[in-house]
Amino acid sequence: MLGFTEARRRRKFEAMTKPHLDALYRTARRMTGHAQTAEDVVQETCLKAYRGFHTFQAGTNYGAWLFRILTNTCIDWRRRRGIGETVDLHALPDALLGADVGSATRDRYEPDPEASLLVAEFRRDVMGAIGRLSPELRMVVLLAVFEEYSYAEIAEAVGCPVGTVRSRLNRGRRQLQADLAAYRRGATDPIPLADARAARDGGGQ
Amino acid sequence: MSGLTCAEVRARLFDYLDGLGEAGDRAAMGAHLDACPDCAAELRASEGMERRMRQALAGDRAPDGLWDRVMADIDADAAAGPRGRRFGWPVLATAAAAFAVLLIAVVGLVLPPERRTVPAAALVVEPVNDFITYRLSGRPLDVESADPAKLARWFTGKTESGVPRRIPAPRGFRLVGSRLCYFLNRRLAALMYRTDAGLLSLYVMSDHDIVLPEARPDPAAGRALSSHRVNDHTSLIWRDGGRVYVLVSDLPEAEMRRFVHGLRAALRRAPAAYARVMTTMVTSIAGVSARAGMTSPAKPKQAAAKIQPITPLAMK
Repeated sequence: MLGFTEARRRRKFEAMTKPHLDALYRTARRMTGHAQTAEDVVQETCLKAYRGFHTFQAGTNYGAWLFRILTNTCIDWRRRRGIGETVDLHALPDALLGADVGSATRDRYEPDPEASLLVAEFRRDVMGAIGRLSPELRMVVLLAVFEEYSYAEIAEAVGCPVGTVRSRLNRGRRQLQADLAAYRRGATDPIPLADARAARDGGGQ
Repeated sequence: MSGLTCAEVRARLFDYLDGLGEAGDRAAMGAHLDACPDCAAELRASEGMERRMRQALAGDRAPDGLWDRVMADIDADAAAGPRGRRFGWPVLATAAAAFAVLLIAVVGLVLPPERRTVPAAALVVEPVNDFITYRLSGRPLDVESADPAKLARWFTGKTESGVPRRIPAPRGFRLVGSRLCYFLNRRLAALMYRTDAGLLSLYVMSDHDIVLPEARPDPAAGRALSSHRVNDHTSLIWRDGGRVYVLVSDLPEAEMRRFVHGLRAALRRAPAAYARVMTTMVTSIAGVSARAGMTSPAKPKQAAAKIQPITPLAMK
């Protein structure tokens, strides 16, 4: 039987952590490019969080704290596996419309089969573009654009200053836009992509 | 000079979208966007694109059962953990808690703050990588010997877990020597065995901070094993008495299971003096050999100090 303190700690942990599970999983999934690995990473993250639960300071952002552990776990995973910079979210069959994910996405009512095919294609290309971001850029982009965390929270989650988050985010989002340029409406972009890239890589800091 | 170039505006578009930047900068951006329909269109397009991306990926959920597995991990960890979080009686609980707080305060000053857990996936892959590396390199063994006691002596103080002193060679397998390895954040021993058909490596390591893959009972081996196929190699993983064992080879899995079964049979044949200890295999031997090895007081301490988890690489 669990002791009183332990049982309370367990309940509190469950109440606080479970609401973040989907976000942790989909972020891990997009960071590692692999469903099974993402599960391992999330399980490891939660175990570490539970062990260090007493070090979490009430009043600070719990989600950001969890994502910090997740970020470190992903770094460890990459280091151990000797995985390269990018993850091919494209090539993996389970990345396609998520055989493993997204009951909500998958089951969403799509009246027009052609439209839903386009959605699927777009989704696949977005995943591909995310996978081509370097891990540093990818994590801040996932947290900012897809989980909608604030710059300060992201800074805490990835353990770097807000200024760094801001510049990574800028680069990451611009790269995504450039990668998905084909989907932009109106092909009348006055500044060709090459120039935008030059501005990004060169002077435009 | 009010004029920002289009390139400068594009470079700061996302800051502007997020409402960031100094008031002066924002005013200059605003002025440019008012005057430049192209940049204004770019801003709208970027904003619209991000919204579509968010919509496209919204609602990806964790697979069913993941939370249950998380809590199962936590319960298993709490049950196995050395922290002694379970207090029997309320009277003792207060005293124990006070002691624990003191202990945590002291230990917290000495130990690194975060323990790094090795996930099951790494436990499956890393030993196979090491085995392949060893074969490719043609490196010599650290110790060439068929005598388990000699190998165990050599490893004393070199790894956290040590090597069981009397780990026998199953019938049909020849112990040829051992190697000292470092991966999975720890030092570990690789005992090398041969058959006429090929080579096997038995990795022996401490089981702290390792998550084991799900195992199935193997009655002939007398324990639960998990088996994995990685890069044309097979790895069999099991836990026994505070140690994790990983057997890696490119031999057929049946042959490797025969090794594990043989290990058990060989333990049964062990001399009577050892019989009692042997039935639980290395459970108690782990402690015995560790203590037996601590004849020189300075050495183990040194080794213990050296065996620290690696600090994580900071994100660049």
